[in-house]
Amino acid sequence: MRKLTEERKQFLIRYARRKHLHEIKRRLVRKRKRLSKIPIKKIENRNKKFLDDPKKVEHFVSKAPNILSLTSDPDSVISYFRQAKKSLSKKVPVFFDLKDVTLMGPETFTYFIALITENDYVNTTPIQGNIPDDLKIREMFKRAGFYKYVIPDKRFRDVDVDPLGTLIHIKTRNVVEPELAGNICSSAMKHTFNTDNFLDQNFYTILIECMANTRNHSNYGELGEVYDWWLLAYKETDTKITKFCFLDLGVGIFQSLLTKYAEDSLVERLKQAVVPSNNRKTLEKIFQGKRETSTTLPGRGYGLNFIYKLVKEDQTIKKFTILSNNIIANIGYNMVDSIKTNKHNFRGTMFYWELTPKL
Amino acid sequence: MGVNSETMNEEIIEVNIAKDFTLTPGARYRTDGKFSGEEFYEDVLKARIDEVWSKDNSKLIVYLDGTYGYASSFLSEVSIRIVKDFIDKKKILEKINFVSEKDPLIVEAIVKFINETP
Repeated sequence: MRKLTEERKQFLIRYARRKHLHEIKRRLVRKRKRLSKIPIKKIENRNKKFLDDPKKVEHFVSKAPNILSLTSDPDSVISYFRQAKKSLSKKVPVFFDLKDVTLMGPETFTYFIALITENDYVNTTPIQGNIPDDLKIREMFKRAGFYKYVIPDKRFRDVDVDPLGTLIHIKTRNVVEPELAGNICSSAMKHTFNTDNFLDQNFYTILIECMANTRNHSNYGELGEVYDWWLLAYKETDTKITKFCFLDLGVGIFQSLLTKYAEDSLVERLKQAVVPSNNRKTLEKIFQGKRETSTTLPGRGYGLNFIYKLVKEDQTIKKFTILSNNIIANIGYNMVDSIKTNKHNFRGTMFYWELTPKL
Repeated sequence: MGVNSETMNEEIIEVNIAKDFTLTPGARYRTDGKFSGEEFYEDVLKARIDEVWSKDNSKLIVYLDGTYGYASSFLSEVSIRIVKDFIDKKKILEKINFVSEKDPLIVEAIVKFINETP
């Protein structure tokens, strides 16, 4: 018999895992259908009524706080969307009232779109909403392609060709899209620095590391078989700043590390049960260059440290934020690192940064 | 492919990633997407290393500048593959010169990956 190479072996393991997870998902869907108490026809009629006129149907109004920002107040954003999720889980339609929001960045916008287009979140329940009165936020909603994602019967394409100012949703087996990242870099360089020279930047590598991170940390152990990430490179016309947000709604960096450790070693599993994990310390170690990876294979676990080094040496990258599980970290050139623990768990990983013109 | 040049004592083969492979290097495996480290090694680099490996007075120079940038997974996969196939780390570092004027840290990272690979 031919000896299996390590790559082939890893490929077969990944393939078997995907197949297995797919089958579990199918079973869950069938079970959910079987246990559904309200007749499907009735639900469909109610959904239709709600979309025509929300007032006609009993629903939950989810009033957003004035400051809806994942970078400045992640806990209130997470709790806001969690509250809406509770209603959606019970099949109660939700009206997202964003009218009075005065602060909302591209990162929260991206998170909002990612959630309301995710089947697990909306649970086949209709949602409605309004957009903020604030003119600057309204402009962002319009330019970042909000209506493309929320208008019913207008299915969006998986990859949008306009790399700037438009939300890009990637749903692909090829998690890393180097050409797309290259286009985005060139466009951002043009917008922020008015140059065609793409060589003088670090954020291409950051984008590729983020995409690779999705593969390593997002869907691990979850039921999804395709990897999903969202990217927004939003250009602000008045400031020349390009705001980047890269997001996945997976299990998050720290949770995936725990899951992998737990699978691999009985000692680690016991340790986890006794000593609660300290995600803050884990991230500090990663920043210091200590390898944090589940695998014993060489060359793994350097992605986040690479990102850290690039951000620390680049004066044009500002407000770099990593939000994953219960951790939010801010790093930057010539600044002290800030790693804080949040009250709520953020399901997934978000990277945010601003590319600013040189002074 | 790269330009071959001969000095008095040694033959030098050059590979320029930006010209010979892509401006936009990707991640680790082909399954990750286009222009992966695996693809670069198998389609471009391996044959070049084979050429210089058995000859006493020949060297391979890999120019890293000119691309958008490199992810750690791309660099580590290339390094791991080289060590896996050619084993002798000392000889690898003698025979192959990685060059980056823009970012010497990339070269440092490659050397580190080579040395760390068992």
